[in-house]
Amino acid sequence: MVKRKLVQFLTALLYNGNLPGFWQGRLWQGSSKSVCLPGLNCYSCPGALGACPVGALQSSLSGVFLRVPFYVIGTLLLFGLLLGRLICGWACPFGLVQELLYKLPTPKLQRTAFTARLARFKYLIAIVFVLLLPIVYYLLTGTGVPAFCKFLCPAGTLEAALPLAAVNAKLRGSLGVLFSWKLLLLLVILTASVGIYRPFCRFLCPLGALYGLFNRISLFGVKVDAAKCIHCDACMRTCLMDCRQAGDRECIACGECRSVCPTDAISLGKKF
Amino acid sequence: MRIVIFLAALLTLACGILQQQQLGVLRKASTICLECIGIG
Repeated sequence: MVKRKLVQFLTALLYNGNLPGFWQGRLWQGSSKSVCLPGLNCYSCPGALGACPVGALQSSLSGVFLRVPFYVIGTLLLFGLLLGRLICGWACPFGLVQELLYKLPTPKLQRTAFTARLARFKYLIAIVFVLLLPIVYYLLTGTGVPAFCKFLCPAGTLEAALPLAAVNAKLRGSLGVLFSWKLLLLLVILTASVGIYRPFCRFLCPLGALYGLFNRISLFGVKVDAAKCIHCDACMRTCLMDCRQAGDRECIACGECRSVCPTDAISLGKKF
Repeated sequence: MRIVIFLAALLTLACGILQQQQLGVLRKASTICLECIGIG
């Protein structure tokens, strides 16, 4: 689907339009950084023009008992309600990286009942690393910790740590055990992406978990015309995510199922 | 349901903007996040 790839590339470029930042090793500090982008894109990426919603949520949650993070929550609600996981399929740079790796001609691991169960793991990640740990850590120590960014996020390593360390010797000298762990995790995820379709999105991404909750009610996404559907299951045989039916909470609206539907029951776009 | 969530989202976002929470996001996003790059 060439159109989706084009949108993914343009979105990645739009998110990271501060290109001089990559060779200067400096972050964009314009006012656009106060706006959360819909996809997972590290705000410490030298090119990033906006904020990462997961990072912003975690840092806001550190002071949740002093001030409820209305701004980030409201933004996430709006993104979820408008687009749901369509954002994952069309507007997430890290999703694009995984998809490109999956195009390499190697044997592929197909989705199974096990991967469907593993897909629930991302909800645990979201609850523990994005919600609970920042709050608990703040209560215990008085300082915040973006636990997901710190221990798990591969986008931060790929988009921020590596480009910054490449041009900043001082930063390079400060990298230690934590960076080694995150680099290992990134390499595992990227290697897995060659044989498994979007493993990070399916099993680990807390943003995908959150947006997935909105898939049923989002204004845009995949819609199935029940009157036309003959329950042939052709859509599910084509689906690379862990969907049980087109448009459910695992659906990233890639549109692959639409092209194989014999009755044109599946559409992609405005749902209501 | 959709309208309720939409209104709740707008109200929540407006509350955040009135409290100037976007400035906190800007502050955090404009400096290198040491945790994100594996130093902090």
